[in-house]
Amino acid sequence: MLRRMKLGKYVPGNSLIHRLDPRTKLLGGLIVVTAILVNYNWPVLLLNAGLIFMVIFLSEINLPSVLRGIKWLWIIFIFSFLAQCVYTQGNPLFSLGPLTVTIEGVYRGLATFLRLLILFLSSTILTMTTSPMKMAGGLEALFAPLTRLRVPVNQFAMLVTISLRFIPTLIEEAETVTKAQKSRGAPFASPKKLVRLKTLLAVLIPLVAGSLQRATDLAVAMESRCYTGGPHHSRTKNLRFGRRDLAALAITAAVSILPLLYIYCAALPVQSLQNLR
Amino acid sequence: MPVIEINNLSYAYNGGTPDEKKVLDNITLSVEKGEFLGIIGANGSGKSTLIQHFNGLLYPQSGSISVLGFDTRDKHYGSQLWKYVGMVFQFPEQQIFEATVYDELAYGLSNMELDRAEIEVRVDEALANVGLVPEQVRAVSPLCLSGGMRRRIAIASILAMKPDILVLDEPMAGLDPEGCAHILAAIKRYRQEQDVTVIMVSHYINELIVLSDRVALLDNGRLRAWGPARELLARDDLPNYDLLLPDYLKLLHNLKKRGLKVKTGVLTVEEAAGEIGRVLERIKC
Amino acid sequence: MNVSKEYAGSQGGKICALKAVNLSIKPGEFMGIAGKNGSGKTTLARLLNGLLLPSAGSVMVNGMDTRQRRHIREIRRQVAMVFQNPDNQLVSPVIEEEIAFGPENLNLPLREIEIRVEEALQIVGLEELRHKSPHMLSGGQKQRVAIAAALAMRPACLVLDEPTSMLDQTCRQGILDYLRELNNRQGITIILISHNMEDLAGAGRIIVLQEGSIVRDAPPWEIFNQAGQTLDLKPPNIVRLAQMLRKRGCLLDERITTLEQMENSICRLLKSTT
Repeated sequence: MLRRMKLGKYVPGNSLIHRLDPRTKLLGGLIVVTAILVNYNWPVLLLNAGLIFMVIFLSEINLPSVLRGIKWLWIIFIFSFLAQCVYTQGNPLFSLGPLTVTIEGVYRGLATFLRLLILFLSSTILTMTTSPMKMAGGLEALFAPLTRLRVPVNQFAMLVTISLRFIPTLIEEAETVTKAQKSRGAPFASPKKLVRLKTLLAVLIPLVAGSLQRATDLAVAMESRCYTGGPHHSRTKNLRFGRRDLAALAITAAVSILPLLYIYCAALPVQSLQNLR
Repeated sequence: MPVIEINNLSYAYNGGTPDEKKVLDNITLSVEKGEFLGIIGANGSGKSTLIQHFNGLLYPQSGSISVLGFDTRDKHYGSQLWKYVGMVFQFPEQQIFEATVYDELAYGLSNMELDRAEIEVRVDEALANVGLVPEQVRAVSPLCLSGGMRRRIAIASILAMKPDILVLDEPMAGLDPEGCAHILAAIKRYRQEQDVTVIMVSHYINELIVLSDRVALLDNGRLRAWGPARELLARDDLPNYDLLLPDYLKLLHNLKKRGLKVKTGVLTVEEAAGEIGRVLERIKC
Repeated sequence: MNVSKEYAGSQGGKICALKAVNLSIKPGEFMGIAGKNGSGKTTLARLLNGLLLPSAGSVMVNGMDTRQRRHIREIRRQVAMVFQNPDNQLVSPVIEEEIAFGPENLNLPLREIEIRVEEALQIVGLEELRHKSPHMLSGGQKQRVAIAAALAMRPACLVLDEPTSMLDQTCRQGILDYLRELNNRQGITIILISHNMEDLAGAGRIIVLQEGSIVRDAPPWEIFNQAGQTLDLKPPNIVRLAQMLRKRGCLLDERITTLEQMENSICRLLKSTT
């Protein structure tokens, strides 16, 4: 069955990556992103890129459709590449009128391109292989220790849950209200900005009013089912951190952190050698 | 002279994609000027989709529909249809957004570019039409009013536009009997005073059949029956459609199946009583 | 389980919603509450599980007073509520999790929660939809989810405040059938509030509220036969039909309130004359 892959949308599946604990994926993504933001030497970039592509392969998601779906992001990638090429000082490669392209520029441009790509791909892979509910559960579990500091983690998790629940409903309601206002001649396509704004209000206000009523009703319903703001056990305790997760985190750490350690440690003797001169 | 003519109209959502879902299939129907057409059918039979073709919100994929003499796909005409075809959606009170009742009713009228004096007259007329006292409610915020009153105000905002064709989608949904009575009275009153064409979709079949000149039955996007209410109700296959028939009609159909010679083309409880009584008297109970 | 509630309460503020109501509900009853909008039906319902507290008098659920905070959780577990708007009572994007919400709030162990979710899904017949999102469901299905979510707390009593009024009316009968089954098979006390008399035809007892007071407390057939004249309520069509036929001289039982009863009576009349 043909499915149009959309950006960041959850694609159900049963791959190795899908079955990982959401906390693993969240932490792993965080490690990779931190690594490439901190340092963009070639070993770091290439190893992390390799890791991401490996993860995509293991998740059994169609890579070309992912890449195809982000046409407008390519523009940003290419633009930043070109900007780096031209604006970086260094040994000139060739000139085009007033603009000079330098070797360092090309290297920097490629590095920036790769960093952006890894950033994008790692977040996409996270949302594509983790259902919103699992994601919320993983976040709640990860932040749970903060409850000791009186941070309302569980309430935020409930907020996320309710938002996820009502976004499709609100979209439907917005469509209905729009149709109703169109049926009264609401000028959605007016040339005047102020008129268009007022027409937008004709859709937003009913939605907000409806949401306020909804919030009151929901609160009553939740109270009736004994809600007091506690943790969601069925979501957070259902998460099982297994050997696969440990292995995944270990590999991620190895790939991302070790090269950084090497670079910094290896840099020290090099520096001291220089000092000796 | 038909005000609406529908010929072989078909419509599907997501046409052309693998997700295509046919909602209306080859509908041919017409509505005469001043007629009251009732539309009945189970959930998902395509009723709401059909009526959205009447004011140009949707266009047919195949077939055609002409309203007041013009094809709705006519670019210039289609965008102006809302002035002549008033559409009341289900739970219309959900579209209220203005700060006062007056402003809410005036919204459609100011979009029609009427002058202030005319707007004032029409607002008061429309409020009286739905059984409200204009002086009492004009300056009130609609959010302070009860659900039933908000419904009446939402309907009044369409009545104020004086459309030639009034389309109502389940106007009595979710109301208590008193609220339903108000809405029905308003519709009857409006029809008598303005002599407009009315098209109403409703699950409350017992009220619809009394008001309608003709009734159309939709099932899975197809038009299964269309004609005067009594004829439609007399059909033997009526119980097969997932409709909420009033109990007295179901009773008559069940008795007929058991062999009793009762006529099922009745509109009211009184007529049903008369029918059963007549048959029982013949057998002398 | 013995459920009995008795209270003499009145709820006020600036508007007196209920005045000196005295009511006792026995376990296993199927009780209907009728009355026009504004008669105090919703106020009464919310007093039953402690969402509202009486201004005077008390509400006792199985011996527990709703005004005592330490009992509130147990009261709300025993008296579960289902509301009018199907959308505005579902909080979770996944049906399974919605049903688990109640047991979760009761701090039950994970395994127990799983068992109850399974049970509730089976009772309302929605096992196939467990992973779906509420917005993909019809109104009737959403109400069934709400009922399942209430049942997951294993209540002794289920209070439903106009559960079918916002639904496509063809779903109505299905919901009513579930309720009857819950009452017959599982012995759950059902309290059904409705402005539609036909919904209440299957109840064992109906109380009628008018301007905050109980004006009648009787079995359905008694209420329906008096409805038009004294109570300003519209009796079910079948009852009106029976009344009209009786006026024409047909000998029909006074207690007829449903279609089946009417049909059977008429057929019996026919058989007795042939």
